[in-house]
Amino acid sequence: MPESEMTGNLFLFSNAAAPVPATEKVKAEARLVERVCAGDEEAFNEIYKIFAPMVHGIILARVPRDEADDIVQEVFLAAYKNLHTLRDKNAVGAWLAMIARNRTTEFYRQAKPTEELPEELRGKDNSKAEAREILTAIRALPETYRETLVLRLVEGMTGQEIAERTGLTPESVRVNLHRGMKILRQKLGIAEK
Amino acid sequence: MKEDYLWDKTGAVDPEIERLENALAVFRYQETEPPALPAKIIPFERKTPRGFFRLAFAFAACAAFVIVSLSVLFQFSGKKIEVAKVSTETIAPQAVEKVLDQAPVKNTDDFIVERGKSLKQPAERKIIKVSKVVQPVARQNKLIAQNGEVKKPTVILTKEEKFAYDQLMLALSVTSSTFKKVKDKVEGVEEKNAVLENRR
Repeated sequence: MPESEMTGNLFLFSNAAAPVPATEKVKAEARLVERVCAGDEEAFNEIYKIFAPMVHGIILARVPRDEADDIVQEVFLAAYKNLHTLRDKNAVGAWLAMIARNRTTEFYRQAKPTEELPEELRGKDNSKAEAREILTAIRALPETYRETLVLRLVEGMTGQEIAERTGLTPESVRVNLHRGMKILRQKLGIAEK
Repeated sequence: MKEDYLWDKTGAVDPEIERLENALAVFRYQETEPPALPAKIIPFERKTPRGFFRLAFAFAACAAFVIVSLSVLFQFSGKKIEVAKVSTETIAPQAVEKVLDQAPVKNTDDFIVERGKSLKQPAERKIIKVSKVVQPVARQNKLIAQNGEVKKPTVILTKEEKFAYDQLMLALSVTSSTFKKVKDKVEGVEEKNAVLENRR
């Protein structure tokens, strides 16, 4: 087990008694889930708007970006079909994240072997080349750091938002961000200030 | 390293993190329409298929039981009647010796073994196989049923056996008469007869 996960578990226990500032948000999401189960499609669209960036980030941390959008749609369709099986209505974010992770695993199981285009054929946009390089470096990180860093740096979510959407504790997100960023700096050759 | 900026984008901006954010922004999620939903949520009910399989399994088990019991029944009722059964028995070497003691036996090689003498070479003794015809009882019963008459087996008894048979018959008749008396007494028939005689 990675050190960060162990830390996450410890924080999970320590955080149990602490007041959760996002309780109202969680309740609102639970109400949305109930409305979807009652057949309200508008409520599902709201859930999609809230959680799509998080699902996209989790998928982008694992699969090629061209495939990410399609998998996001698949994740939400699967969620819609199985939403009535969700026991804890407050844990919809963590549930969606789990579906997204499972879908990426399935993607690699079903995917035919492909080869990436060489650098010279990819186009000469320097900014995109740099972005691809950074994303590749992030994908080479351990899974826990990779996911959190993509959500922070690519999707632009704050640490608190990441914790709320993924169901992780804020403490474990903070640790993952800090350690992941440290390793990323080393990989990219950025000196730590 | 400015952790506040990394955590919630507050405080002094970390230029390196900002550069990474700007570079990676090209991969950011572009808001799209939610997926086209199916017409209706069809909840997956587990009870129906489970109940169905339970019923099917019970039906299959009953059918299997009936088939097995019927096959067993037919196997016993439709047993083939054997016409004749030839069994072979092997006579033990001791029995052969006994036979040789009683009378001279002519061997296949035309030499005679005298009475009271046993064969010197027991290893060379031949095992005599005697075929024995066993009359099937079932066939006999079937023939009797077809002809409608019962043929009593003819038994030839010696004088002693005849005497023993007569004694047995007498004993049986005495026993049966005694049993009859006891029975009448128990049921009160004797008293009724006495009353009737008195009336006469």
